[in-house]
Amino acid sequence: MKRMVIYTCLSAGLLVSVCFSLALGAMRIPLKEVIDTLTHNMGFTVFGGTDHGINEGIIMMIRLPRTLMGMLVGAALGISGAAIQGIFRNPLAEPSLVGISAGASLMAVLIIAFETLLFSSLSQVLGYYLLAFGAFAGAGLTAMLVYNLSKVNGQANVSTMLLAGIAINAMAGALTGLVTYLADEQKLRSITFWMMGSLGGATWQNVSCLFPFVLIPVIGLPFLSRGLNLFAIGESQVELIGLNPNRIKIWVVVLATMAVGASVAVSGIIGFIGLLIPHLTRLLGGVDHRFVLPVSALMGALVLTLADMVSRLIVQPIELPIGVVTALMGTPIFLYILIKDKKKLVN
Amino acid sequence: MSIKKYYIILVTLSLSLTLQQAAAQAKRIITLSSAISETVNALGYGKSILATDVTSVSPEEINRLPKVSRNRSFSVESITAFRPDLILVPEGDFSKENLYQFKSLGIRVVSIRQEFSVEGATKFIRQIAAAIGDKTRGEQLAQKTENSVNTTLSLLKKGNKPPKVLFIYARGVGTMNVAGKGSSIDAIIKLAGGKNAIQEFSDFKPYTTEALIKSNPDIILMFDFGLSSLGGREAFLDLPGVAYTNAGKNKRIVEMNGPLLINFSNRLPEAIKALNNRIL
Amino acid sequence: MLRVESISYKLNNRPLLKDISFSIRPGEIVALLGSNGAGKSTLMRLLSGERKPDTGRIMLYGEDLAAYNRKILAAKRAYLQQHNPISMAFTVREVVMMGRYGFKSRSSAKNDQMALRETMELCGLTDLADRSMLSLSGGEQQRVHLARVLAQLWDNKDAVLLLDEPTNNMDLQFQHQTLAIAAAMAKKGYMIIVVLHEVNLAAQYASRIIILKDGRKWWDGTPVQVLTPQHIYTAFGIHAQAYTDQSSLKTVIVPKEIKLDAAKFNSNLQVLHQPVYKLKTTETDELINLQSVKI
Repeated sequence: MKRMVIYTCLSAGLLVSVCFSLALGAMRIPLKEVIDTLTHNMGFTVFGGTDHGINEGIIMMIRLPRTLMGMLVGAALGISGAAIQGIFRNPLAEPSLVGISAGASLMAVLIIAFETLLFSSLSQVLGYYLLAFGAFAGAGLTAMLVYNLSKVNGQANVSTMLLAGIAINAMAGALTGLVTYLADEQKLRSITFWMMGSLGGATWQNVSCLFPFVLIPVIGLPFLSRGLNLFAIGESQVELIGLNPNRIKIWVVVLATMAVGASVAVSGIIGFIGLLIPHLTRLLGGVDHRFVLPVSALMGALVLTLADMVSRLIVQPIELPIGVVTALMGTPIFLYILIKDKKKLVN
Repeated sequence: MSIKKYYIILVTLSLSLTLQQAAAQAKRIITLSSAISETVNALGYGKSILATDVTSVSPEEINRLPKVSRNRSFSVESITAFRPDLILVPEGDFSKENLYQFKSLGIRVVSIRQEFSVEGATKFIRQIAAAIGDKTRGEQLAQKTENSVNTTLSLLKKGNKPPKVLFIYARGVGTMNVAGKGSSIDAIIKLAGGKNAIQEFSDFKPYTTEALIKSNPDIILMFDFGLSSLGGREAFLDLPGVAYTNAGKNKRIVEMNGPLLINFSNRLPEAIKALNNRIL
Repeated sequence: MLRVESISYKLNNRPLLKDISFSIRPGEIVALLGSNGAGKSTLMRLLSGERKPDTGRIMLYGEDLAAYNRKILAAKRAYLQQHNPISMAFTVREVVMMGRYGFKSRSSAKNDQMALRETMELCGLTDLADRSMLSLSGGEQQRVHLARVLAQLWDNKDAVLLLDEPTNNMDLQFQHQTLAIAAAMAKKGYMIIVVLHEVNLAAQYASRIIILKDGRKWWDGTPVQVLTPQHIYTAFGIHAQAYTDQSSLKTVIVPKEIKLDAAKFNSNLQVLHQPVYKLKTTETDELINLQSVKI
């Protein structure tokens, strides 16, 4: 019952923030016009129709793709963070901590740098798919590398996994910075973009490319909930109760890196969401992954949409990098959780 | 102000829109670099500029205009809020996503490429004039500039041999870069009758004391705000290594206004003359 | 029928089990005893299928354990490990239900609920159902894992239940309750193997005792046969006497008390030369002279 309430509240909250996100911005557009524009483009008229002017363009071509990107990236980071914490049995595991985000950004940067050499004839949209797949592959490769580096006596040890992740993270991050610095700046976007993230480049093209890479994990990961629950009481238990631990591990890593990789490719590295959202979800409704996974996706979408609004509105006319906003929002909450629940976090 | 805005781009962005023969003249312009703002103003269209980037500080009327960007970061919506019909931007400053976004809003964006030479300057002027839709005035200004440059070049002071000039870009001691071959500074130094003390590498690279001593410049050139960010002349002369160079021994530190020096547009003749006076 | 045929196991070139063979029939409850490091937990891991033996094989219901399909095996055997670290705040109910995760078919949802209810009641967990595992004591957590393991096999009439030191941390009542549950299930056809440290608990509830020493099987038989003072001394290095309790006819082991002198093992507590004062009387009828004399 409690969980139904949580679902409803979060969904409602998401809807409300989407409305605000579409209505607020550097350009003042009255709410009536916002609604008009949306409904008109869906095929029916409510108030009086639009003037097809610049306001409509702003709403349909700038704010709407951006809001959608915020929701998709937020959901992707939220659910991947929760899944990775489950598989590592550690509440501090996070995509950017174990090197996945850095691997994704490195691969994305390399692809962009060599894009003109290899794929000059590729169309826009195909180019984005290539980028997303590449980032996905980069994320997956680093995940495997971290996993293998952390094997002790043939078993993957959680502490060494986190340490290996930190090392890979640092190296991939440095390489990304190097490539960005050395190569033709215009194509690679700035280091700030990769390290701190931005939703400013959202277009219908890259959002529609991102969509499947997020939809599949968001639908698929909850099916692995039971396995993730069992991981919490010991990896050997998974096999003893009749499930396949290796298959669960592989699927979790594949789906999580898919979501994170594609998100990083279009919006850079946005930290804290994958770490914090699952924590909040667990505080709300318990640790069962059947609840934590979907709700983390929902809450991630909500929080990132709000963070994007803050980044857009707070220092007009420019924007704060969204990574800065998520860090500012996330650190106090994180510290609060740490102080209040020290016991629960330690194994 | 970022000197990095003015660099040579070898590959044109596949999405940069070609300069259109605009039938009507642009009336609502946004300019996103100091050189572009100056040029538009010089062409007589200063009043049509709605907003500029944060580096556009001269002349005074331009300085007073609202600013829409900082450190090359900006928001598409903030720019659109001014309802421009033309955006003039240095080539490469907009990502391909941004170009696509402006295109879907129906706002014309023209990316202007800047080359650091006399022809480059006149080309720059002509490009901007074409974008605005007033080729005639563009031709006039370009011609006037070219003539002025040629006159200035013929009247340059000359010494026995060109002095070695080292340019240092500084924003506090933590951020110091030197200009190598092919950079905008390299070009203006050459035009003014000097020689770039750095011949080993191109573009801008971080400053090291070694590079300073090795190049042993006769003159050290800096932007005015750059020198003050280091604490002024005296503080600079105290920096390690400086006293070993000719420039340091003779206390030949030259500071100049940034935009004047490297905008490579209609004020080029002024810049050449001013620099020439200082270094010879 | 569980048949162990000459299995051996090495870890990092250290032999942990050497040439072990025995077989168990439905209805038997076997207690596995031995001193620390004798190889009991290793043997349990091999019996559960978690590890594979280096030599020999284990046959369960006529099929090689190594060849079993994971899901089918999960319905036929359950393994309660010695350590069950829990890292997240699952509730008791959620953990017990995890035992049923192997069965996904819809129709067993009713069975799931029944198994959950009955096993929790059996292990005294009904009042603790919604408590977080992290808030329970060690013994309470142990009961939850026992319930989980039972729930896993609840639907089946014949299965193997492997319990590795299930009574650690439990209070007296639940120590016996656990073994009683095992014995009751054995009577209905289960095969139970339980590792215990408490020798008398084993003697009381087990129909058969196997003692391991240094990775080998030394004795295998009924409590009366196996639990003799000589065997116990050889296996555990402790002197004990064995009686047969008249009312229950079960073997009872009474280890001899070990008496130690702290001064003998802690040099800080050794007795030093201290002055001792003694009374000395003189021969005269006068007042007794009390003289202090150093001895």
